[in-house]
Amino acid sequence: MLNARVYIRIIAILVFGLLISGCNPAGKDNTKDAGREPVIEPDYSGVTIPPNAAPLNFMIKEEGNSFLVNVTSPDGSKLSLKSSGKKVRFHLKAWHNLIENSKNGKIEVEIISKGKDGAGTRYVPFAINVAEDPMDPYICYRLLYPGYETYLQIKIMQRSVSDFREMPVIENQMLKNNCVNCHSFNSNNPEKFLIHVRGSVGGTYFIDGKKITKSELKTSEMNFGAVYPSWHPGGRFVAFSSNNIRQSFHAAPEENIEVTDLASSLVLYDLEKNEIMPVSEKDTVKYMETFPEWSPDGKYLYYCRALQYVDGSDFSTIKYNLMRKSFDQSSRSFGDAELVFDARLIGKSVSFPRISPDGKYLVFTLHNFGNFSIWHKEADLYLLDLQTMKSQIMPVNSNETESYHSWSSNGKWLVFSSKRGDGLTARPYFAWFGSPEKIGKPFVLPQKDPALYQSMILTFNKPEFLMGKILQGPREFETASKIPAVNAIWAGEKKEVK
Amino acid sequence: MKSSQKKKDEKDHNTASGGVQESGRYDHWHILLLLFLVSSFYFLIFGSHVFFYQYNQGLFIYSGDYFSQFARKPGGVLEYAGNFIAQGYNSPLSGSLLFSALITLTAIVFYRINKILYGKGPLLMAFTVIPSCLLIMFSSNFNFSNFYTLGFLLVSIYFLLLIKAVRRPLVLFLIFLFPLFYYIAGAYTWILAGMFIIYSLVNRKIIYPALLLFVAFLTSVIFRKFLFLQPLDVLLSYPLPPVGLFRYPVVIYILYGLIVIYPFLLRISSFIKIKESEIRSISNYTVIFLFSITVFSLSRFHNPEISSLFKLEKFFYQRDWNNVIRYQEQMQIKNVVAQYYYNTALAEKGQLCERIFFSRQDFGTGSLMVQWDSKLNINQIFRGAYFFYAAGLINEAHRWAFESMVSQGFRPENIKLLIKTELISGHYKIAGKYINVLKKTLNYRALALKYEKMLGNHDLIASDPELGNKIRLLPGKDFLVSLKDQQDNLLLLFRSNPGNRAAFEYMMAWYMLERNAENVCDEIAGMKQMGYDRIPRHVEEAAVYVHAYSGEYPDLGGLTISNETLARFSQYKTPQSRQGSDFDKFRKVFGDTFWFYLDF
Repeated sequence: MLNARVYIRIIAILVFGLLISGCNPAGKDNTKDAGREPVIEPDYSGVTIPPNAAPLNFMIKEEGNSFLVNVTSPDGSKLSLKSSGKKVRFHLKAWHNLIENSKNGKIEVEIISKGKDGAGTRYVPFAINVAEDPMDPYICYRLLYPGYETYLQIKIMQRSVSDFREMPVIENQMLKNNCVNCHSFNSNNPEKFLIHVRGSVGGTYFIDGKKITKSELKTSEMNFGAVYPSWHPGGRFVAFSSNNIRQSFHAAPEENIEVTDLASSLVLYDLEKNEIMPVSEKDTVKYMETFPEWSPDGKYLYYCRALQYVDGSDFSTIKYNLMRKSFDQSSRSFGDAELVFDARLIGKSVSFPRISPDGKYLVFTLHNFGNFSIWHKEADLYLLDLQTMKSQIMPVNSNETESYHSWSSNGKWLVFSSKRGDGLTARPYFAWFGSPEKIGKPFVLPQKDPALYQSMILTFNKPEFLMGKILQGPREFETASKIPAVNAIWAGEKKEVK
Repeated sequence: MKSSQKKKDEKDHNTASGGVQESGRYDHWHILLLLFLVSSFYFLIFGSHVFFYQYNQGLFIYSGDYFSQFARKPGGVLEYAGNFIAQGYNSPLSGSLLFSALITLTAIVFYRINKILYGKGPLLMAFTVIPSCLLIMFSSNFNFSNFYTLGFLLVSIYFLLLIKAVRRPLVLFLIFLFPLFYYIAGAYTWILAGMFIIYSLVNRKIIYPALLLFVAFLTSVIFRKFLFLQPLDVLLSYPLPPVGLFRYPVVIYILYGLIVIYPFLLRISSFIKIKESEIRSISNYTVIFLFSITVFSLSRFHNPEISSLFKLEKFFYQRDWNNVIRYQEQMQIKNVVAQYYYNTALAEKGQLCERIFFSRQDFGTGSLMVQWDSKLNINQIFRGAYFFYAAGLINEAHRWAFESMVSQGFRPENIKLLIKTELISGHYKIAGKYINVLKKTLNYRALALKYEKMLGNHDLIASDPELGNKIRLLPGKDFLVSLKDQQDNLLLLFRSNPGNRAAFEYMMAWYMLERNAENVCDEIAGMKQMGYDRIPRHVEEAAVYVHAYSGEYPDLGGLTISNETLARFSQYKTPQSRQGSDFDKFRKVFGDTFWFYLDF
């Protein structure tokens, strides 16, 4: 009886073997080597990811009826999956097990395609580097059409970086279809941030833990409203630029929009006292000042400064330098302006200075003129060493726009907007930052459906890292919108800010 | 005693009905067929613009993303279904048949309701056709989308199910299924709830309507607090027709009210007793009376100018410039949009300076271009994109199409313009995204495939008669577009690309509509160099006019004024009576000249 079973098994194995060899009549492996890496989208070849990255699902842009994907970690553990289509989607848990075991190493991804006739093509494996440093668990961004004047739906979303959960923080249909502007967090803290809303329920919404308050920061002494914010690390102050912004449109097909300040200045808001005051400027020359950014120790306020725009002059003459002023918290006073990076000297303009949490590095966007770099194709990210004051172009740039960026709380990751996909819509890209010499190849925010970016016309605006999940949602903001805004009190001289 | 009387009444009633049944067994089908035919005929012959309009209000995309836009709020599925049906509105015939089928189906459901609540009395068919007749009248307003009609149909079906359910578990099941109905039909739920409450009260039932109200209340709370991120007013009113849809908002409330009290009306009508022999004739007369009222109302509502405008718009969307020009010159529509379409068609054909005054120009430069005004409805200003497209300012045409897409979603016109402008500008990756959207539609797939072949193939785009021509009109160098005074862009455009005759002719047309003959004449000198072998008719008229009062011809740059124009001007200047019918004759002869526009 036992023998009979053994015989049956042997016969079964032989039949199976024959069947398999039938698929390969020559008895040889009919898989040829492509001699190159496969084309995949998004391009994840050679990127550096954190050990808590969401699965890097991708599309295979190669011919084939089915695909075999083998992912191997440095310790030899393997994750294999077969795909009848061109979309490769990893199992969440298996993916995390794999990359958790691959810290400080690289995983290799091998793809073998099979045609209708069974003939296969083996592509050269590509590597994905896994850094040891994790990213903050969430990012926050505004999702909207890369539009011009009209808008309908604007959302501020938060997204887990470890998986594909995406949750709304604000949806403007809950706020009487008002325009929802930039969000700004205090040192990546999901419990301390602000959001501007324009319209019938407008105001600046301050979130502190579970509490949402609404303020009207523009006083009669201010010519324009408070626009671009930066939280003082202590949490008591927020520096804003107060801007008069104009949007223009180019006629040439290779250009698009020009957003320009006609005037701007810096103001400081004291949350404790509900007072707003100008950031003093002793220079007699008139300037435009924008994009404030505090140093992590709170002792300096960095910002961008250009000569005051003269009505009718060419916008391309507006060039911003990177400046800073010392700040004394006890007296709420600022020192003289110091030049940090002379962009004008090289015929360029600076925007979005962002300092690493350790205070050693500053990343800014450099472009030809103006300050609204998202519509400048030539805009690239630069790294400034604040100790040596040496700057260098970052190896994360592309031929398309790189613009807004922010640091993770551990200073090891940068998230930045890039339009490299299609030239119009910005996507969040992540780059590992080991040192100025060791910067990883960036990767785009992975999506459950890897084809999403191919069809999506919405743009990801102002990506920011968060150390946790934002607890408030659209309903909380709707409730807060019903309370009247508290008017800030002007604490500067009783004259108009110019 | 009462009970026995009631039974007797019912018996009499049934006997009477039996009579009707014998002699007019198929009457209801004849009436329903008549309803279908009346509706089809009206919408095919007089109301086809309704379908043209609604067809162009949206683009049904076969994708999960498109569905999810609707699935995120209660009632969205109803609109989704309406948009699905509207795909068939691409021709007047299919549109009228589809819509009439919807209307007839509504009547069939109400017929079933009436049979249960009313029996086979003399007003059975009258009550059957009343809701459909009302819906036909409402639908003659092109803004009354088909999903509004679909909503009433759903309400009637669910109501029929509720009243058909005799056994308690089934009634309870339907009541507890109410949240699903709410999700699908949105605020139509309130009409259904109203109907059911009235029905129950008429039948002296309290428990079921109370339960229904409780379920409805609970559903709205759960939807609001947990399931849907929608403001309260949207949850309570979407997708009911907005009251602003009609000149007299009260009419929409009358419609709601009538449907809600429908069970009550049936009940009180059941007390009307008619002789058995008269039931059939009364039934038919009331239906004929209702149809007559409907037809009469439709004739009152019908606005021939609106129909003409939509007919013109149809030619325009088809880029059938010859027909746009012919039709406007024939109809002389006074509407600003019609005149704007006419002028744009002339620009596309290069005939602005040749025949702009062959059509009325009642709005001066206002019918040449649409000035941007963010306070205006994008529907009104989207048309402005065509001016930029015709003039060759492709970036701006693209922007206006994009603005339309952002605030209105994809529509056949805006997506076509988005694709064309991106292809012309060489933005193939973005063009590809729009093409992928268009590929997922029923009626535009072939067009999408045509454009798909052009991706990355500049030579193919350049060889396309439409797109190639636009490439030649592109600005030679960049400038910032003037938003306040769009006419300024014409000069900038022309200067940046002196070969752009469309911009030049627009500029000339602007001067003419501004009654500025001198500026027109100043430009004649350079026309020969631009390739003109003769001076266009209206420009000649300007030159002759200037000569008449200054005594000098402008610099014609080597071109000449035709004898025909000189002769006509001589005739124009001949003293003659310009009063009453003489003026009409004068207008007939000279109304198509720049001189007439200048003088009158």
